[in-house]
Amino acid sequence: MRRCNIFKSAGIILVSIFFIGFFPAIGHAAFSTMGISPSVLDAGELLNDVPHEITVIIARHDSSSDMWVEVEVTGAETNFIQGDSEFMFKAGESDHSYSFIVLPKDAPTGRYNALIEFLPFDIDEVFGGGTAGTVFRRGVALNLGYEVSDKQLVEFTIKKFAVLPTEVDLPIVIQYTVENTGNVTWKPGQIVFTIIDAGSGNVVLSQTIEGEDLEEVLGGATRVVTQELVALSQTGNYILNADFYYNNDIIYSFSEDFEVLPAGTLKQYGEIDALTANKSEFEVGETISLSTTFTNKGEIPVVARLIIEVYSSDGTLVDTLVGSSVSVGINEEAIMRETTRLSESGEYTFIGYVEYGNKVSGTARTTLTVKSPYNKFLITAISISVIIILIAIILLILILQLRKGKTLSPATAILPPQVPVVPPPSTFVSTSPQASTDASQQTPTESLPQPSGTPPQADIKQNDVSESIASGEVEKVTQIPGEQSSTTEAEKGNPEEDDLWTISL
Amino acid sequence: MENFIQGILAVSKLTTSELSVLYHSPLIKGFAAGYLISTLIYGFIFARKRRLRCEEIKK
Repeated sequence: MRRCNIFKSAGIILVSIFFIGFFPAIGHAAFSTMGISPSVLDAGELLNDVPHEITVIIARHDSSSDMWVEVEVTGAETNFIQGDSEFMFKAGESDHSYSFIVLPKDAPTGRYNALIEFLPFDIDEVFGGGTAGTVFRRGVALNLGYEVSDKQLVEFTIKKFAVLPTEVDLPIVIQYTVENTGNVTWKPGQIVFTIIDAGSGNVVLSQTIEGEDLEEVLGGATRVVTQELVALSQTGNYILNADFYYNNDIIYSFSEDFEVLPAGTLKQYGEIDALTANKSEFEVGETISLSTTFTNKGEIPVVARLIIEVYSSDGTLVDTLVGSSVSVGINEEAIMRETTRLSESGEYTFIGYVEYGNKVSGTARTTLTVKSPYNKFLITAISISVIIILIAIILLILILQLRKGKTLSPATAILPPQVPVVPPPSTFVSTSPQASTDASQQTPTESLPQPSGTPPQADIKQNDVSESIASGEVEKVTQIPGEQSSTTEAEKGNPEEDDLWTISL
Repeated sequence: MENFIQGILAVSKLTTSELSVLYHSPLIKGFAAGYLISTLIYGFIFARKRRLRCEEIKK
């Protein structure tokens, strides 16, 4: 029973150590109310080895500050779900589109379900810059259902075709939206563009873009595709005709008027925010996610792409990350993100800028540390060592307590709680009732002689000892006066041992 | 470490997220620190008391 209590106490102590924070962090506290749309989604029939994209909107109530959100997938076949394990709401951003891929692999046909949780955490907590001061973690969850099938479904819609305003010697930029509602990846086989002078009706230019140069749209995805065409060298009004081909059939045609303006008419100007990473310290080989926001403050929509140069601490260019092109409308913002992995530890500087139209934005930079996993191992090893030492100390205390208790139990068992010491031999020598009475009326110190070299006086009374004798609890206590000196010698030799031998259970 | 966390999860019936919340809760940290310190103090006081009592008995 006692041993059980010891294990129980040791367990609670271990748990206490755990919660105090000796162990590495296992998660993050959070503090924001969130919403998700939709919360229940049926993705329909999916094919093995064909990715299917799903997008949900995550909203938050308090958009006053930056907030990172962790994504956790639970349920059957979680490895079929692929997406960012975290994303960030920037200050002022209340909605975020989160996209992920469902990619069944060698899965038997049938129904599958998964729960995708979006759990916010405080950025300070991640960076170790303070405590969240909050204990509740309020996230949202998406209940996802899908069926793995072997039936191909090709369904798509092309819409919102548009020609963006342009200038002389600037490329003509078109946009169209593809909504792929099937379960296969789709893109047009070919697009044929014809530019006609609106005044004369003459064909000014014809350009064909083959399918391999066009962007694929995953099943389930809706993608706004931006495509640059050639530049025109003369101002004027034009008509652009576009024919979309798929399997040698025209599946979509569109015609729109547009104007080519004189150079310098449209102001191009964009700005980027600070370059931020999802953490400040990374391990070697860990994915580093860098993002910035580009704002188009010009008078013309632009096609922009993020470029990040990675420099090591000695100024050597390690890598250049080139993002994909995105179209940014007038006064619109675009969050641009790039990921990379670094194979060597050290301090790295990331310099990012955005190329848009025929201009380049200002630069934004951030410095990150990439550490070897050895550091983490060392910290864990030290933590565990500290814990083991603490446990050893606690166990040592408990063992010492147990040993002491075991050794002294016979002596303490027969003595009154307040009278733990056996009297010296001189007390037992007296057999006179009068002497006993006198002794009982005096303090032990007064009644006993104090020869030098004798053991310290006990505070036991003669009556107590007499009672012990009468009850048979004490044996071998009578002494012959002539032998007193030998008894005293024995006591002098080892009084403690005599105490124990004098009293028995 | 992993086993220890799994053990806590199994015994406490908490989810990883709930344990994470508790782990980062200042209140829980305070209780844990208080428990540990008070246990150590109690251990030392108790051990000392026993030692003194034993010495007294031996005398």
